[in-house]
Parts: sequence; C-alpha cells; structure tokens
Amino acid sequence: MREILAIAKNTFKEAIRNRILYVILIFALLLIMFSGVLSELTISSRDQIIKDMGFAAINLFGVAIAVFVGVSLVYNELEKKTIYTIVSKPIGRWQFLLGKYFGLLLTVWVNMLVMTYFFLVSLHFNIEADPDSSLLQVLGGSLGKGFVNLFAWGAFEATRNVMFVIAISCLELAIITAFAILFSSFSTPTLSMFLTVFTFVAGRSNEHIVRFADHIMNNAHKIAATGDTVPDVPFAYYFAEVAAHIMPNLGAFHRTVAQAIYEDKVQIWPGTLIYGVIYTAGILCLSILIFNRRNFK
Amino acid sequence: MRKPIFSTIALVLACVAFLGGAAWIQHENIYRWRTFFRKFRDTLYLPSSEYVRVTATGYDMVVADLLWLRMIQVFAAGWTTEDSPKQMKHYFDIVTDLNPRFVDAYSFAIMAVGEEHRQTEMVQDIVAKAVRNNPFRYEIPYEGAFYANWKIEDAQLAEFYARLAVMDPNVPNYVRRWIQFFELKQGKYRVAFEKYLSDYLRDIAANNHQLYGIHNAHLNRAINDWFKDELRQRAIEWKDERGVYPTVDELNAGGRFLEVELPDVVYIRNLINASIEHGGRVLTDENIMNHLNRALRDDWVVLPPGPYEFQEPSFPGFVVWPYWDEDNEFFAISSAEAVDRMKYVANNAITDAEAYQEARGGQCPSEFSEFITAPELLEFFTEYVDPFGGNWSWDAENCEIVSSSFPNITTMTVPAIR
Repeated sequence: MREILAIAKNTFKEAIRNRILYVILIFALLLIMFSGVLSELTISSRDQIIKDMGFAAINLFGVAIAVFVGVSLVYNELEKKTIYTIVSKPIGRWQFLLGKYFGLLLTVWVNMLVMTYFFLVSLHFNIEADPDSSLLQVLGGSLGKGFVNLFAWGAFEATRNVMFVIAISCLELAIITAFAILFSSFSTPTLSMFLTVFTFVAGRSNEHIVRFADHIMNNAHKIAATGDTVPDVPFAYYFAEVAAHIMPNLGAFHRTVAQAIYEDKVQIWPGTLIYGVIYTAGILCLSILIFNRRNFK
Repeated sequence: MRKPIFSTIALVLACVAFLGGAAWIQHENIYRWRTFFRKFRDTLYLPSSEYVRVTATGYDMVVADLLWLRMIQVFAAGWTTEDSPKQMKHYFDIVTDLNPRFVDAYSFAIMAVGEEHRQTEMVQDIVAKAVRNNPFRYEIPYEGAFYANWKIEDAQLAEFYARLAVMDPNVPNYVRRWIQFFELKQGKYRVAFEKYLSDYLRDIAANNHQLYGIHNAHLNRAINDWFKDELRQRAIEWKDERGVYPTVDELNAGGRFLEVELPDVVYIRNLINASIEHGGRVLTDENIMNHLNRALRDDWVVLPPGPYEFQEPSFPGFVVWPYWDEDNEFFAISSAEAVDRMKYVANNAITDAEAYQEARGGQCPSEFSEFITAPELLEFFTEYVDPFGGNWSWDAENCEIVSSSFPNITTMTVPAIR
C-alpha cells in the first residue's frame, strides 16, 4: 500500500507540472465564467443555462485532463527508461500501475475541485447577487459562499445539489481515467488518446447502442411477420447487445444533472454507484494483466 | 554582435505598414458590415433530434441550451424571414426532445408561433407535447388556455387546458377563475389582462429585461382593447335607444360607465414604474395576486383614463368616431390612436393636393373636391366631424388642410402607439 501511495504522490507531483493541465484548466475556468455572459443572451431560463454550461464544462474538461495527462504517464516511464529503476525495486508492476492510476485520479479530482469552486462562485455571482451591493461586495460574497459550499453541500438554496452532481461526475471520471491508464499501458500516447476518447463517446452513447439493437430486432420481427416465419436475428443485433454490455454506461452518471436543475433532490440508483466502482476495478485488473505481460525491452 | 539599426527600423516600418494596411481594410469591412442589409439565413443543419442527440454525447442539455439561444435569434429575425414559425417549431422540437423539461421553451414557443404568428395547429402540438412531458406543470396548459381563449376564441379548448392547469397545486388562483369565464364564454379581456399583467410583473421580479418590451406591448394592447370594447358596446346601446351615436362625454353624463369593471391604469402605471425602480424585489407571488385584484375596479363613475403607456394629457381618454361603422376597429378608439389615424388620412390628402399643384404649375386647389378623387376620402373631410367634434376645411390661401380641433394636424406630434 505504501508503495502505491508513494507512486501516486509522485505521479500527482509530475502531473501538476504538466503545462497542458494548466491550459485545459484555464480554458475550463473561462468557459465557466463565460456561462454568465451566455446567459445574458437568453430571454429566460438564465439559471438553467449557467448550471448546464458549468456542469458540462467541469465534466468535459475533467475528461480532457484525464485523457491528455493520463495517456502519456506509463509511456513516458518506458520511453525515458525510468521504469527500470522502479521495477528493479521490490515493487510489483500492479503496484506501479495502481500508483499511476490513483495519482492521475487525484490530479483529475483536484482539478475538478478547482473548477467546481469557480463554478460555485459563478453561480453565486450570477444568481444570488443583490443588485444594491457593489461589484466588490458581490464578488467577495460569492468567493466566500463558494468556499463554504465546497464543504457544506446544502448550505445555499441556489447551489444545493451542485456538489452531489460533481461527486457522481468524479465516479464517471474514475472510469475514464482507468481507460486512459489501460490504453497507456500498451500503446502510444496518440493512439491511447484516440482510444480513450472513443471509449468516452461510446460510453456516453451506450443507450443509443441499446436502442440500435432494439431497432434491429424490431425490423427482424417485421420482416418475419410478412413471411410468417421465425425472425432471423441478424449478427448486428448480437454485436450491439454485446457492445452495450461491455462498454461503460457513462450516461447513467450524467442523469443527475437534470435532477439538480429541475428537482429538489438528486437521487441515484445505488446499483449505478456499485457499477462505477466494480467497472473501474475491472478495467484496472485488465490493465495490470496487460502490463504484467508486457516486455520492456 | 549589434544588429544594424536600419534593419530594426525597417522591421518596425514593415510591421506598421502591414498592420496599418490590415486595419485600413478592416475599417472598410466594418463599414460594409454596418451599412449592408443582411437577411437572416439559418445555415445550421439539424435533420432530427435523434441525430442531434447522438452527436451530443450525453451533453443533451447543453446542446438544448445552445439551440434555445438559436431559437430566440430565429424569433428575433422573424421580420426578415418568411418561414420563421416553421423554423422555430423545428428548433423547438429538437430543444424539447433533448430536454423535455425545458418549460420556458414551451412557453416561448407558444408566444412566438401562436401570439405573434397565429399558427394554431403548431400551438396545439406544443401544448400536447408539453402536457405529455410535464404532466404536473401548470405553465404550459395555462399558456394554451389563454391562447385558445384570446387568439382563436375557442372557449371549449381553453376550458380543457385550464382544467389541466389547475391540476397543479402551484397554479395561480386567478386561473381557477378562468374556468368559469370559459364556461360562460365571458371575461375575454379580463383573462388577457390578468395574464399579461402577471407575466409582466413576474418578468420584473425576475429582472428579465428582454421580455419587458414584449409583455409591455401585450398588456397595453389588452387594456386598450378592453376599454374600446366597453365603449363600443355602450355607444351601440345609446344609438339603439336614441338613433344617434353619443360622445364619450354624453355617455359619462348618462352614467353609462357606472359599476363597469375596468383596469385602473394610474395604479398599474405607478405599480410597474415603482417595481422596476426597486428591481422587482417587492414582487412575491402573493403580492402579484394582490396587485391583480387591486388593479381592477368597478366603482367608476365615468370612463377612466386609458392604456397606461400612451395615455398623455394632450390626447386624453377615448372617443367614438362615427365616421367608421360599429364593427370597424376605429369606431371606438383611444384619442391617441384617433389623432394618429387623422394624421395619416390628412397626409394622404396633402399628397393628393401636392400632386394637383405639380400638375397645374403650382396652382392651389380651391376646395377638397378638386384634388381628392376617392369618394370615401372626400366624405371624410366634407361630411363628417372629426373624432373630437371639430370640422375639416380647406384653406385655399395657404394651400393647407385646417381642422377646428387640431389646427396643425399634419405637423403635430403623436405619442408612440404600440
């Protein structure tokens, strides 16, 4: 355990020195702040637009950090031959990989926390601002409230469900980070990046894959009904069914955003949380399996 | 080694020349951009919500928000495009497929395609979809009930929607009253007044400047139509009894407006101004209900002042204008609109007079019949008194139209009428 923590700590230190991280972070913060400007373009639903944009920005840039920072983590160790000094010590490959994973996850989560803080500040600034107060007073109040909100999740009416949604989003990103590590353990950074992004898109489209399978089956039934025969199930149906079961169902985590905006309380099926944890564990096991068999020469 | 000074200067000069040239071309671009008329062209390709949903990769709500902003632009560009309602409906369908709980999109669509473009079938589609997706929200059937009553005058449909709306416990109390109005096919103007005033006050409470103009115009129109309808009814009653059309003063003296329920525009004007001044903070839902009740009075002795916005001392109240028949929109009319109309007709006559002069080498006509060719227009100047009881005459010496009510009718300032 100590070994994993040490590698995680080092990975975190290394990741926060990565310049691309700051570029992504600044871009995300600008987008979060810009949501306030964008909301001025609407004739109503101002709060909804600020929240939608904020949640989406945090999630999307969280994914971007996981992808851009994560894909080169293992590859760099191999490229710079630093892996030899690590594996020559009494550290298992699985410990190395888990350390890398948790270090990267910590980086992603810390960045999400920073983005969330600015999102909360933006919400307090745009939604709860008292028109009689000066700009400095409003800004000061929003900065303070945002900070309190990070710890007291339900302290303010306007931001009551925000932290809960972010926590669920963190779980979604744990899966994406695991995929980044998985692909990084056997391929080049560019290929890993594409594979991770494709996995994210496929994961977000999981429900569409299910619908596609249903559509194929319905068509098969329709064709069979005209000839009064047993439907001949096409191969594409099995393919879609298998894909829907294997690909991560990331949409399940994202549903809380609508609840946070339209409902008093955010609820999630406990099965989804368990699914997130065991799916991540599964991908990490697969990564270790591949990494263990990898030849470093 | 030191770089030669002339190469540095040359580089600086080149920079200034290139950037200066670019700025000069950009200046021309800005001029063109500002002066050229551009027709709004929607180039966004949106085949169906299914495609959009797939490409949104889970960020459905953000995409819905962005398309919602685009839908507002399409609405704003409605004056330059022919198919604006169709385009808006297409956006609306995609926005509400991506985010079925986007209540404001439904309300806005009803207002845009219904009230502004009168597309009844589209409104019914919108309400049906809204009720399907948000069965426990009163906002959409409330809009539908109002639209059915106010625009298409289908009391049965209005009642149906109102009954759907009152299933939501959060529905404002006055909507419960609407059901009775719809059952009896009464209270058309009162319903419009309650709807538009409460909408306007809610906009102020939400500090929603973008909708001020729209709801301000709607409220003024509703109040104006209500006053005109009451005046028209009483003028016709009077004519039936006495054979001649009355003036408003005669109706007032005859006590014809006793206990007639009409909005108190002075109260409304003060309420709106004060609310805007205080940033709408004093307007809670309960307050709005109280204001709605207080803004309506039935203890009038004479016809009260008219629409709160374009009512001003130079053109007070309303007039009966017998030049037009009872069913004409100008028969019972606000003074401001009457002056506006008079000015419009007088300007047409002046154009005819100028054409006459031009054709005859500057000779001024001696009477109306010499230059006004249209019989109806000639009657307007010769047979009828104007809405304020004055007469028109032709001043051949100065070559101009003269009114005994308003001597400078062609040049006077008419308040903006919305």
